[in-house]
Amino acid sequence: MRILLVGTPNVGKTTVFNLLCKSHEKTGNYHGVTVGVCEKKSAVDPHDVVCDLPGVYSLFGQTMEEKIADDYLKKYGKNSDSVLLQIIDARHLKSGLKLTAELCAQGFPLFVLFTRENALQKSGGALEKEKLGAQFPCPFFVVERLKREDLSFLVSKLHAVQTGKNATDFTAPNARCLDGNALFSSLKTSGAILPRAEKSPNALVRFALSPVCFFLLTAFVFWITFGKNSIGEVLKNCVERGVKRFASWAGEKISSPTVRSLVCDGVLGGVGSVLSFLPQIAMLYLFLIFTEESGLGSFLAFGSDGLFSLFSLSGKTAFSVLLGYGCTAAAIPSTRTLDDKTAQKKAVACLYFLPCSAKLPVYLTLLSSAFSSPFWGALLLYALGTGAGLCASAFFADENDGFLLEIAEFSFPNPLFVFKKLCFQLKQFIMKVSTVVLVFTVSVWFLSSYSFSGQCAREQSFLYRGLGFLRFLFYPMGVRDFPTAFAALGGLVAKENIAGILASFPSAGKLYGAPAASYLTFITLLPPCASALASSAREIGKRQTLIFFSMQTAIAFLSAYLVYFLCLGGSVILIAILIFALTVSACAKRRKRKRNDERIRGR
Amino acid sequence: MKTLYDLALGAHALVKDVRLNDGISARLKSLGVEKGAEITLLKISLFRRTFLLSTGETWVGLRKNIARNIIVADLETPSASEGGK
Repeated sequence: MRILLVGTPNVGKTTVFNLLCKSHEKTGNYHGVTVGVCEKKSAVDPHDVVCDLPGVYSLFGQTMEEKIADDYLKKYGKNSDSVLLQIIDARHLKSGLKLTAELCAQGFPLFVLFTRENALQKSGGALEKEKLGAQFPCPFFVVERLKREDLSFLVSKLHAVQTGKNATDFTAPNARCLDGNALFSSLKTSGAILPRAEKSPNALVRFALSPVCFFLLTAFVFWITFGKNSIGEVLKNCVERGVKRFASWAGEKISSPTVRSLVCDGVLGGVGSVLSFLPQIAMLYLFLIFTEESGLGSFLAFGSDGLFSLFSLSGKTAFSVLLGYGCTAAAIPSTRTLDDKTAQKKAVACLYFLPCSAKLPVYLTLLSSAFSSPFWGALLLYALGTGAGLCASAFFADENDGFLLEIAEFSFPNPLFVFKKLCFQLKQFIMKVSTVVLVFTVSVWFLSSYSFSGQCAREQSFLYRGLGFLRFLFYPMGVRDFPTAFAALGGLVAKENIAGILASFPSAGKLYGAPAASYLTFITLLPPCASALASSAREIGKRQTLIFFSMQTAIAFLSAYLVYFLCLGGSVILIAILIFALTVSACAKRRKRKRNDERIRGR
Repeated sequence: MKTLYDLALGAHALVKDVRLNDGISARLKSLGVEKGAEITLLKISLFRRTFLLSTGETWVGLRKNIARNIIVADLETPSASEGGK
């Protein structure tokens, strides 16, 4: 049997999917978390396949993810082995029942699961199951939250619908009224449903809806993550000390100089230094998870729409921007919730510049060597990346239809669930560091330590001879050290590589003043990693991805050169040139006016 | 002719017409903003750029270019008609 999970956005389809399949698909308290179809074998009955579809308000929806769901329903919805499980959040009966009416009218084998019954009752509404049973056009089940013990009962009901024993009764009066409003009104009139009373936002919610709330919250998160003697810094120092102690212990135990160099300089130097940033990355993710799960992301979308509209973007982009601070590769598919392809391209162009969490270790490595506290430096770099992203999207023509979004309700997320989600994200980070970064760092260590004649000085190594010419690209930034230059380009594979390589070479990353400022500018504006580019190619096409990549690389180099030029007194030269140009132009205008006056007087 | 854009904060209104393209009209209808629906304006963002309204069960956020094309008529506020409920 194929179970197709359908429903309006943000009703908990993916939560049901995760329960049925024992899966960890992404969930969140905002509209448009699921943007593609996800299929998995059911954990309840291995013969069943469960399909999680993106949320739809209507079968005739216009957005990209609604079309994906519609196409899937057309392809599989009416197959003999298929059954549709519609989830309805009882607090939003009207929109849910409108979709039920459409699905019934199309003749899909349907079973409805009403969730959040207690929440409905608390807000003054009710579901009268007996009356509903007599009138509802298809079988249903009512719960507060679906639990593991309900699963086998639910699946048996679905089997009954699929085999036709308890199928949708198309002869029932409500099945014949194809209009969702009519279905809602008739159920309401008969007393089968009592929708909840209208809810006004309280003072806290009003504050959360303003952009000031987001800026204050972001400043707080930055402070506890990067601030001097903050929790983030204290935890980072603890991990760093642990890695150093382990490296010195390993150095004493290993007698072979080559193996010692590989383990201490290559593995622990590179990978260990990236892992020491784990506490700060955890704090950043904690904030992102809380924003996603509480519904604050939805408020942020509303509050920031005014700002986004200045850059011809919709407030809906706020969700993607928020995810982009975590991982660009994960954020790019979320742009499917936007209205059209042009809006999606604009959002992707913005995401290319946003600093993802993998850039954090690089910023902190470089800033820590130049400043006692990296707080203001990190804040400035995040502002630079975000500003560059918003400006990049402003270059597109403004064809925006505007902003239209259902605002999710605020609710404190379950701490255990947040903890589990955080552990999952950190596991992903550790996996990446222990695979991609480890392989890259060890390869770089080998290539920079060996030549055809065996172990050698760095200048004779494979890496230096093969790619040494690349350092010339970094000379106009004031960066003369080859490993530092190479580290920046290694970031194109994965941003964590930059910090890994900088930590592996004693001379690398020791930048101060103008070279540090220009190098950090380059890193901030550097295009996203290979996996993000692959994700971008899937969404906006290979050609557009190549254009974005080339343009961003050029912008990163030119901006870094400009920063170095300005830092080295270039600003004085630039102002002098501007003053000279203005004076010459003013003199020329004056002379022209004088000549005109003389000519007029002469006449 | 009054539009949603002209409503005061907290105003309760009846939607008279929605003059927008099919895609946006359909989405608004799904969210409960359609001819004959009762709405309440809950919040207006800085410089009247974005509006938050309630359609009973649902909160909907929309931009001023959409708000200017939703024709409304003022109703009594629910608190006045329902004795402050």
